Amino acid sequence: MPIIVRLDVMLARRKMSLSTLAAAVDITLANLSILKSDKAKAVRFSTLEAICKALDCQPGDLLEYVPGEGPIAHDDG
Amino acid sequence: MNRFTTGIITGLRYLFLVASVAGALALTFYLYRAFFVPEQPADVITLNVRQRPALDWETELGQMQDARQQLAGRDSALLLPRSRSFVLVQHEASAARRLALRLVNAEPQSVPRVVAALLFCWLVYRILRDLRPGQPFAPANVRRLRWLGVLLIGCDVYYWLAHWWLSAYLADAAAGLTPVMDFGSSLVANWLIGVLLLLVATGYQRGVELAEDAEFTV
Repeated sequence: MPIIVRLDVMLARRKMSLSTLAAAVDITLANLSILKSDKAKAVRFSTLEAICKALDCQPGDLLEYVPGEGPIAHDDG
Repeated sequence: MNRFTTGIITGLRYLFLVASVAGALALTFYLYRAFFVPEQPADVITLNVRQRPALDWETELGQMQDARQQLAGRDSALLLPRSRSFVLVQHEASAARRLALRLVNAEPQSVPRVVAALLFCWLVYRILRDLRPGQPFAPANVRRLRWLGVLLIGCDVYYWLAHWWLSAYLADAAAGLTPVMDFGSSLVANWLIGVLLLLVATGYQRGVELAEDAEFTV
């Protein structure tokens, strides 16, 4: 997918571990790992809001559009 | 999925498992009998047939009117024969045809019917086994539902082909003979249920996709 999640970069900048973030935003470590490893198919606005609040950043700091990073997932319906 | 539904699914699952085992045993028995213990001499076959008297429509209508007149004013009943069941015993030179006829016309159930029932029970058992509380959409069940649909359509196709073949075969033996076959005796045609199952499988596949999407939504 051409949308890349830069959560690891922001975590490194804020010197925060994934488990600390998980505790701060009340999301399971497993779900945050899915997000961090680019396996997520969708992100809720509420999740994005909580992460942005905990890391003191903008959604654009977490998500990046890189053309040619793979096919875009189209909805069949 | 509440406890009542879970209980029904568990009960049905074991029911179809038992039916699958019984079907496998029955199939083994039929195949063993067809291949190793034929009841007739080597080149003789036995077929269950029905014979309808070779009457035209007007003659048959005339018989019915006569019967109604005989019954008029009397409190009794009259039985008019429309077809009779027979067992046809005859020589068949071809070994392959003999075997096919024995399998198709085996007693009390034809072998293809036993195979179809076994496959049906096994597929339903596997579908029910993968239905778990909180996880109603199993990817493998899409394939199984499609196979179930194909199986039911195949049952009707088999019935039409086997009936056509046996009728053509019996036409050489005597006039008006039709084979006795118990396939396709359900309220709704098997092929129609099969098509409906294929449609359900398509909807179920969409459910599987949505469940997978939800699984990776953070």
